[in-house]
Amino acid sequence: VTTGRGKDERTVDFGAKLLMVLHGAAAVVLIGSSTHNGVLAVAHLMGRPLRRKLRRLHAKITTWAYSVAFLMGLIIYPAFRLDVREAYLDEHLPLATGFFEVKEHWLALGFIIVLAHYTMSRGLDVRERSADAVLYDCLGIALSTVVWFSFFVGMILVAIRPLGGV
Amino acid sequence: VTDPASSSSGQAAIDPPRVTQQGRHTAVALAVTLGCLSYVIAHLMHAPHPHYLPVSGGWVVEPPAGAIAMGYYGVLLYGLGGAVGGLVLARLPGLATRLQTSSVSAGLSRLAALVVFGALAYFIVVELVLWH
Repeated sequence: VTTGRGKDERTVDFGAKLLMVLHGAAAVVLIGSSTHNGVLAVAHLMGRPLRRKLRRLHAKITTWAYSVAFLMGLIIYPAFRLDVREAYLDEHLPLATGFFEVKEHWLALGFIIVLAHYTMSRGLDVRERSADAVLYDCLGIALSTVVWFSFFVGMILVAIRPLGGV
Repeated sequence: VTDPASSSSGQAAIDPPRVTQQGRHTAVALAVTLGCLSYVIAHLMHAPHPHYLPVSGGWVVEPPAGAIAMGYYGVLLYGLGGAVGGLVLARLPGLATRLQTSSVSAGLSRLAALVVFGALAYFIVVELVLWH
C-alpha cells in the first residue's frame, strides 16, 4: 500500500481502504471473542468455574482474528503514517498521535500475549485454582483490555481523519 | 529404604503428562516475560533496529536526519525474539528441570502477569504522561 498522489491514486486508495474495512471486520470478531474470554476470566477469578471448553473456543477465535487484524494493520501502517499521522495528527492533534502510539505498542505486546494465551488454552491442564489458571486469567483480561482500548482509539482516529481523507 | 531416584522416576511413570504440562507452562510464562521485557527494553534503550522508510520504501538501521522512518517493525522483532528466547531457555536441558518445580512455576506465572501489566502501563506513562 502506498499513498501516491498521481494517476494511480484511486486504485491505491481503494486497496488501502479495502484493507482498512477488512481490518475493521476482523476487529469486530476480535472484540466479541476477547470480551467473552475477558468476562469468563474475571468470573473465574471471582470464584466461578473455569469454563475450559468455552474459553478454549474463544481463545481459538481470538487468536485467528487477532492475527488477521494485526497483519492487516501492519500492512496499512505505512499509508496511515504518511496520509494521516504526518499529514495531520502530528501537527494538529499530537495527543491523538500519543494514543495511536500506545495502541500500536499494546497491540505488539498483545500479539505475544495472544499466542501465549492460545498455547495455555490448548496444551495445559489448567486446574481450577493454580498459578497456571491465574496466569491464564490475567492473559485473557490483558487481551480484552488491549483489544477494547485499540478498538476505541482506532475508531476515534478514523472519525478524526480517515485514510485517504482530506 | 526408598531410593529417591527410583521414587521420582516412578512418580514420573505414574503421571508423565503433569511433568510435560509443567514444562509447557514454564515455557509460556518465560516466553511472555522475556517477550514483553525485550520489547519494552528495546523501546526504552533505543536499541538499534531496522527502520522502514515509507516514502522511498527502503529499510535502514540508521534513518537519515529528517526522514520519515518507522521503527515499529524493528522493535516488534525484539519482542518476538525475546519470546522465542524464552521458549528456547525453557528447553535447555540443565535449566528445564530446575524451572519445572511447582514453586518456581508459580513464581514465573506471577512474574509473567506482573510484566504484562507493567509493560502496558509503561507505554501509557511514556507516550501519554511523560511525552506531554
